[in-house]
Amino acid sequence: MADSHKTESLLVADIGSVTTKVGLVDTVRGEYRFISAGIAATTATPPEADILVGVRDAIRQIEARTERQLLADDRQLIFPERSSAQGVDTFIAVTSAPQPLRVAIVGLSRELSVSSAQHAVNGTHAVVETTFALDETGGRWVPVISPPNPDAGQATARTLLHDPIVLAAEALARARPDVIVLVGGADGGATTALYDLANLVAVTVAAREREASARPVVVFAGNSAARAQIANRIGQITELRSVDNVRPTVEWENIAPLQNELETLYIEKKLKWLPGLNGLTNWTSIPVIPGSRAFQNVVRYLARRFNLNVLGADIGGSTTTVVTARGEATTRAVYADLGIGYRLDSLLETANVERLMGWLPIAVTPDEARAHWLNQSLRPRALPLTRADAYLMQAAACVALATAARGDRRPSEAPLTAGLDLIVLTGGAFASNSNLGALALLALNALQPHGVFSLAADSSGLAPAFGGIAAANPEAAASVIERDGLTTLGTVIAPLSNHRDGQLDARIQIHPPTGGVINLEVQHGSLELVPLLPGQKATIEVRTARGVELPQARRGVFKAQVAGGALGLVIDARGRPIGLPGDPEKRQTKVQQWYWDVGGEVPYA
Amino acid sequence: MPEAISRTAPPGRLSQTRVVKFARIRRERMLPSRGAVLVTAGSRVGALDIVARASTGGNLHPVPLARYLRTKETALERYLLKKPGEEVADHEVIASKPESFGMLRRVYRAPKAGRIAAAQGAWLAFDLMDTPLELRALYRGAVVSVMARQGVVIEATGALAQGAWGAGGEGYGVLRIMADAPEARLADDRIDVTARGAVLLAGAGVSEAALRRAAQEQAAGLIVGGLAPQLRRLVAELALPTLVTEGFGEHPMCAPIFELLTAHAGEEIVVNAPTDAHEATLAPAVTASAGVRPEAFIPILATGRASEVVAPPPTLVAQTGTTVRVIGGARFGEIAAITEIPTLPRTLESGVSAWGAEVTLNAGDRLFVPWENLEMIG
Repeated sequence: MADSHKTESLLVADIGSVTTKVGLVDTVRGEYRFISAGIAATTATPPEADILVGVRDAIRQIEARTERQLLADDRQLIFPERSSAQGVDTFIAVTSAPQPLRVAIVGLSRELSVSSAQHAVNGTHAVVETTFALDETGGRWVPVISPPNPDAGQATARTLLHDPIVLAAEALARARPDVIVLVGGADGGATTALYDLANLVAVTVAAREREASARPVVVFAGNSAARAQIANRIGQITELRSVDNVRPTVEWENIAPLQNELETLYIEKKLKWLPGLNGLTNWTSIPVIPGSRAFQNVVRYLARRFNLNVLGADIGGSTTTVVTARGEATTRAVYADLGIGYRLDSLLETANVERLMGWLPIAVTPDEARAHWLNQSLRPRALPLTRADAYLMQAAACVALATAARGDRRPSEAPLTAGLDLIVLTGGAFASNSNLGALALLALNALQPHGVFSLAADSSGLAPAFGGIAAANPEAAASVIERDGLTTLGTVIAPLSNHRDGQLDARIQIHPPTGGVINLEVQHGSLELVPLLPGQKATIEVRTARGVELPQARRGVFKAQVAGGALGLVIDARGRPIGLPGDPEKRQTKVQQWYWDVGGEVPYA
Repeated sequence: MPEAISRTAPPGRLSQTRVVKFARIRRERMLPSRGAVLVTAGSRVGALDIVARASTGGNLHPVPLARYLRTKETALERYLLKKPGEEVADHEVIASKPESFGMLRRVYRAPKAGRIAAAQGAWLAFDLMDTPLELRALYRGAVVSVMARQGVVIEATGALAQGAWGAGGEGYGVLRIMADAPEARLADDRIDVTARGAVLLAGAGVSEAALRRAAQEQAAGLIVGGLAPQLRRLVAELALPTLVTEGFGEHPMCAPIFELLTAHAGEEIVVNAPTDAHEATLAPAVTASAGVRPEAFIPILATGRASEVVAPPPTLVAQTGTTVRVIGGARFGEIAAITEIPTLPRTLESGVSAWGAEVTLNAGDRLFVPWENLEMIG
């Protein structure tokens, strides 16, 4: 393996649940540039059951396109790069292919500790299988009502089969989690109830699996003063890991330590068992990391490098990830059972079919739409063949992203989209989307941000993989993310008002680089594009009407130089939330109008 | 550049549906929880033979016993009449605490027969006795390996047809053809008492009433081309082993599967469509054994003639002449043959640019289909 500081060429792989993408990065005139990519089916399942097979398929496509040999006759990667430009110096991989970690949460309070633990789980490749909150079961002090005495001289305690705490405990015992997260109690607070929960966890774990090796790991993220006692009760039964309290005080939520531990467990219990990973790690110079973490690297890099508030959305076949970075603060929501491939069925469960159909510009019956989406979940690699297929995929992706962005945010929290400067889109939904206008529409409909911000799409579908490079070669990562990783769609101006359609929202004056002035009157309900090519900048002045909010405006005026893109300037005055007519025909007409407004057939990349 | 490297984008790996007239297959038969394996490697087994048994289905019942007895958790042990690991009878007293100076006793009885699986602190967990879980061989053949306390691998010979989706469990019976053509729809009035114990072959679809009737008449299973999405849950609820060959919606059963099955009318057939296999099929597996597709299998004994080759299903390769099934669009489910592999990608009506193949449908039409929308079948 070549030393990282001598690295000139890299192969990066993003092994998703549906497709495996591999990209070649090499130095061109002293700069790291993205050269070529290959895409193949992920082969984690039978008949191949070896992810290397799919990785090699994708590498062979790069070989065919670049006429550069990367695999030797024995199908191993050629290391390091030879003088004849065969092989590469470094191979890096990220993955979201493994099944998510299944988690059970056991805690004292639904609104406090359990809620915080759920929040932490949502930031990792994990799904919550069941939750047990003591305060929902009547607590420990539910009075026991004895039935009439059936036997002379004896008081019989009722079997209490319908005791809420027993029903909840049974649900916990039925679950088959990989990890049980035990939470509860403020630091330094009372511990008795927590010990009782620890005993419950211990008996369910011990009762279910006789063999210790098959038992779930327990992660304790509650009152730190209880650690020793918790260890006494659970440590003998199964592996126990303790992390900082997820809710040290009523007001303070501290989810990062639990998230880190869950990510470590995901790597240990899921990622490392991915079929073929051993063969892959023989090629890699650094450990294979989860795709969401790699994507977070990209979003964080963009936020720091350009001092922006950035939101990144990755809609994959099984997982939807939303990352925000504002200065040093980063949040990550990973919905490991929400996607537009395998997990489309889960999306249909989470959001009813009518909600998805609300974003369709075509007339289909709910049964037809449901059948289409379910068939897509059975064959997630299938591309949209017809325009109708594409609309159906767009609608599903829109609702998946909206669901993930809304997530488990509390009413008191600011929306995820508040104050954004840049939105970055990646994932299978965007990779197969050849219509940049439709892509922008998808993001605007799903996230419904307002203000002035930029939109960018992952041009190669490899943005998460480029984030994976950062650990091995930050210079290469920065170079390809900045120069080749993203296609700028344009700048969006989205004022917010309660106006009726047709009322004036704003007047915009645009000074394009080619000279002249464009004056626009923006009416509420409108969506339009103003051409401004990639690389070009224009000075704009936005004067908002009374009652219209544009966060960047001062006394109703916003003046700035903004960048163009593949779409140019996007002026979205549809209001928030975007209103969809109740009548299906009118709704379809309106959605179709929006598709037309955003430019229809702009070729992708 | 080595010659092996093609200048065109290779087709990559196409998904595939196995439809095989005669082959040797191996299938794992595993208990959901640990139990006892009743056969040994080398045993011959019939479809209904029980190969493993688990004493309980893992029906755990944790109870806060200290609270029920109104005692401290530290004192609980002295009132227990049964210890963890011991068997308990239905309503047997397992804890007794004297009250009112010994005049009365507060007792706790086992809710059902079972075993005390664990006890700690205030809690005690029963493993309640359920109907013993018996695992049938399902595939007639030979046990080739035994995984202690977990299950077996069976090798069988016969005809195999994989489905796109399945639910309802495992079924075994005689194959009854209920559809005159792959496009036919199975209505409830065609199902009568003769369905009992039979696996019904429907065509393009099945009505809700027909599903209910099939379950009522105790059909052993159902094989159908398409299933209305809203009937998914019903199939699982009715516990009617159902194999869907094409997908959701109404779709004529593809000719290779329909012809294979109708050729075996009246013969024994297995439908293996466990409801939880759907999850395994949908989500990427972390083990090689997961991700097994629902299937129908017709056991055929090898005659032992030297001329008869009993091999695993042959590997499918995407090349000119390969039989494929179209996935998506107006031609969903149609069978075709690859006739040409273009060297450049093409733009689809959806706007997507994709690599693919020119295929000729059975009806004679020729069209370009991306590799991602082709499934090898055979």
